[in-house]
Order: sequence, then C-alpha cells, then structure tokens
Amino acid sequence: MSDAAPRTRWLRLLLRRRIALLGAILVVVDVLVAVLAPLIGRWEPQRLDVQARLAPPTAAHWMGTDDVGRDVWSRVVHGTRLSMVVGGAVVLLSFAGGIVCGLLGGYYRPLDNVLMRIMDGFMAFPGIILAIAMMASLGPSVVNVIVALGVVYVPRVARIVRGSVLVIRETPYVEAALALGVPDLIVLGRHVLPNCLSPVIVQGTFIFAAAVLGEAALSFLGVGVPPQIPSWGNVLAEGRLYLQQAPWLTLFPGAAIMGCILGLNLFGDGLRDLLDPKMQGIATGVRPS
Amino acid sequence: MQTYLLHRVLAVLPVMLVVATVTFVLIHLAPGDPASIIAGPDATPENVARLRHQLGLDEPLPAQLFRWYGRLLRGDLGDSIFLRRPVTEAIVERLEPTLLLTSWATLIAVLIGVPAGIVSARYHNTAVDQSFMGLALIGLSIPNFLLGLLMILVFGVWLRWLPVAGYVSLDGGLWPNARSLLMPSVSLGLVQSALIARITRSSMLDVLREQYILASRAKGLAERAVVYKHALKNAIIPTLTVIGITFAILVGGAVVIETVFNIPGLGRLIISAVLRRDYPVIQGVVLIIAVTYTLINLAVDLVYLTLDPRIRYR
Repeated sequence: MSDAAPRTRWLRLLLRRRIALLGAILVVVDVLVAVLAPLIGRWEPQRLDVQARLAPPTAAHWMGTDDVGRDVWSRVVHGTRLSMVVGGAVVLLSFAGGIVCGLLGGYYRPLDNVLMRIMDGFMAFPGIILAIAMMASLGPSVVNVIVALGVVYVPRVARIVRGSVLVIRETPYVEAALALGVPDLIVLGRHVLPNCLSPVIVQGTFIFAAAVLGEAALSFLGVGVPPQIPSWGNVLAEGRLYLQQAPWLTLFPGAAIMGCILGLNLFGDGLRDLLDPKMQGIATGVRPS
Repeated sequence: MQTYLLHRVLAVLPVMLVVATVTFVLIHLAPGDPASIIAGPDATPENVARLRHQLGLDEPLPAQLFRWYGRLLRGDLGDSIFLRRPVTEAIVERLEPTLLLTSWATLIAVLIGVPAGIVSARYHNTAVDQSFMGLALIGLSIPNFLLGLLMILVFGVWLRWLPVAGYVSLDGGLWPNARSLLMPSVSLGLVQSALIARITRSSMLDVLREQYILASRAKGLAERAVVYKHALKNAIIPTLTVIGITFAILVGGAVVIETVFNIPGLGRLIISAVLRRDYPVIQGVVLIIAVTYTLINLAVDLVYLTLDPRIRYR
C-alpha cells in the first residue's frame, strides 16, 4: 500500500530519530549524573541526621530526607551511579556468556542441541524469579546482583547470536575463508562475530534497561544490594513504609527510574531502526520478505 | 501435523530436566555450608551435623541430584525448614491470591491492550495512533511496583477510595476480594497492556496489507466489517502468543506487586523464604513457576495450531 506518501514517511523517520535523540539525551544525563555523583550529591549518601528525619524537600535537602535523615537527593544521585554500573556490568556479562554460547551453538551443530536445550531451560524461569533464587544462595551484594542478572540474560543473547550465526555460516565469504584453510577460531572471531553484532547491540540497550529495573526490584524486595547502599530500589523500599508521611521518598527515585528506562527504551528503538532494518520492518508493520 | 504435535510435546521434557537441575544447582551455589547457614550462628556442631544429615547434604552431589529427581517424580518438594511442613502444602495455601491477581491482570491487559492496538492500526499514523503508542512506551517504562506505589499514594492515601494494602480472600466475599485486588491487578496489567497493544497493532497492520483485505474492501464491505470481522480474526493470533510468553513477566511482576500490597501469595512466600534462607521453599516455588510457564507456552502453541490452519509444521 502506498498510502504512506513519501512526505509523511520522511516526517515519521525524522520524528523517530528526534525521539531517539531524546532517549539518548536522557541516557547521557544519567551517565553524567553517575560520573559526577560525588560532586553534585551535596551530601554524603550515608550521612545520618536523625534530627531532620522525614523532612520534606527544602533548599538544604532538595528531595527531602528519609527515615534516618539521609539526604534523598544524594541517595538518588548515588543510586544512579549504582544503576549505571549494574546495567553496564550485566550487559557485559550477558554479552560475554551469550556470545560464546551463541557462536559455539550456531557453528558446531552437535553442540547446538545441548546448548540450546540448556538455554531453553533457563528461559523457562521468569527472569526476576531466577535472580531472586540466585540471590538467596549468593547473599545480598552488588556483585551478586550483577552475577544473578547477568546469568538471566545470557540465554537471550545466546539465542540472537545463534540465529545470526546460522545464517552467516552459509554465506560465500565464510565458505571462502574455510576453503582457504582459515582456522575455525579466526573465522568465528573475524568473519562471523562482527556480522552478528548489530542485533545484539540493539538487545544490549534493552538488557541494560531490564538490568536497571531488575536491580531496583530486587533491592525493593530486600534481596538485592544491602540496604545501606544507595540504590533506587532501596529508597523506594523505605518509601513504601512512609508513603503517607513522606511521599517524596517514592516520587523522586520513581521519577529517576522512569526517566532512565524511558530513555533507554527510546534510544533502543532508534538504534534498532538504524542498525537492524529487518526489525524495523516488523515495527512499522511492513512484512519482512 | 501429528509429528509436529508429538515433537512439540516431547520438547518439553528436556526443558523440564534442565529446570529441575537448575533449581537443584541454585541452592548448591551457596558459598559455605547451607546446613550451618540454616542452623544459624548459635548452633552446636552436632545440631549442624544432624541438620546436614536430615537434608541429605552429607551425600555426594550426584546422589543428592538423583534423589531430587526421584522426589520430584513423586511430587514431593520436601519440607519447609521454617514452617515445618511440606512445601507443596505451603504453596497450595498461597496459590489463591497469586492466581486471582495474575488472572485479573491478564484480563485488564487484554481489555485495554487489544482495543488500543486495533484502534492504533485502524488509524495508523494519525494522532490517535501516535498518542496510543506513546502511552504504550511510557507504560513499558514504568516498573509495575512503582506504578503500584503511585496508585496507593493517589487512590489509597490522597483520595482514600481504596484500601492501601492487604488482601481479602475469596471466603470474605467476591466483591471485597475483587476490591482488594483492584489496584494490584491494574498496576500489574497496565504494563502488560502496553506490550499487547504494540503486538496487536503490528500484527493488525500486517494483516491489513493482505490481498483478501483488499478484496473485501473492493467488494464494498464497510470498513468496520473489514477491520473487525476479517482482519481481527487473523491478527489476534500473535497477541495470544504474547499473552503466553509474557506470563513470565506477569508472574515475576506478581512477586513484586504482592510485596507492594502485602498480598499473601507465592511472591510473599518466596521472598520470606529467601530472607529466612528456607531453601526447600525457594526451590519449590521456583520450580512450580517454571513448570507452569513451560506448560502454558505449550498450551499456547497448541491453541495457535488449531486457530491458524495455515500453519503447517513439518
């Protein structure tokens, strides 16, 4: 159907890109806040001031204080730092595991069946449930949250990589490289891997978002990072107890989470349009041939 | 067709095996000795040894693993350390709130998501479409527990329309039960509805480009008949799959939402078990959820098959 005239199509692309730009700005702001946290935090996130407990937002405490008088602005800002670290580390970890499993599974047929059944098994657990169970035996700490969430997203990356490898290994350039006697490892690393990266990178933004959400949820439930460490989830967990007296404990970290996730989603959608034209077809409703 | 059916059903078995193994391994990931952790810091060495024996932790790992498989085949999930009774009993007792919560949430998600998706597709690229999709994107960016907290703040604390938290069981009457689940289900279902709206829209757009839609328009059918009678039937199928796949998100979300609203369901059960290191309960709940998820997806696949005769698997 050619009802989408070139002019509106062009307009839509521009609009999408501008929305993606908004997403990128939100992400950059979060990264900046994370990097500058000690400078812009104004207070120590752990500093107690029981005299000023549950104080509403003022010039001194921009986002008020919590039940032991800690500055919420500082805790949200340092929470941003924690979220960025957890998000980044989970992406790296799941990429490392997922790319290795995906390459091996897609390239070596006998391994494929075993590896993919294991991945299926892992994907049978809702992510947060698997993470909760792992946290139960690992114990609460930042590193363990990263490990638990990283393991959750390995199968998702592995599946995408495997799918691309299955296509790429049949291409003439891989065939040519193999015919020339290039060792498997180099074929995989130099010819196969780079060509299956773009869908993985797109997925990376969504995994980042899911990891930020996952950390917040785990900490909110009390099974994530230890309660004294500033984290969005930890502030929200306190906020739940004082919803009536101190709504600022919920509203500010809540806004921080929403801004961050919205930014990542917008940025991810834009990146997908840019890197993965096939997926764009699905998103805009054009049948991929 | 028959071979596909058999294939699909049999494919569940290796998944179940991995699920059973993973739930076993999870608990043995723990650094140190689970028995001494369970017994607590004040326990005497004899007590720890007795507990270790009681839990079968003094056997070699493979023996423990096979004992676990054997028990699972008999439907025995072991005994809770803290509650001192069978895990299956504890799970059955906590099933009602979680089942009701996820069912209500799914219903809400479908009632909002499907119409929003259809309307967006019908008025593709108009302001209606763009605002619905914008809302869907915002919906996807709100964590459900945050939405729950905000709803408590607005409807419970400020407006005082609904109870801030707590659960009234079905025994307390249908209406009080539904009232206590209203906010939890909405906060769980809204996020889901955003996903459903997106999928319904895109599959609807796909179908609207089909030849037979062109044909029915050409023969002069009213646009309403084209969209709701001819297109919807085929477009709804991917939506069904999404409902199956997103069951995982839903149950995962229910665990968190139950904490927000203090609902005594499976989520509260597993979280309190984690805080008390009640490993058999954690294992049991995780296993039940994973098995249910696998079976739901199997069911969705089979329904899919009967709904869309065009699908012919080898």
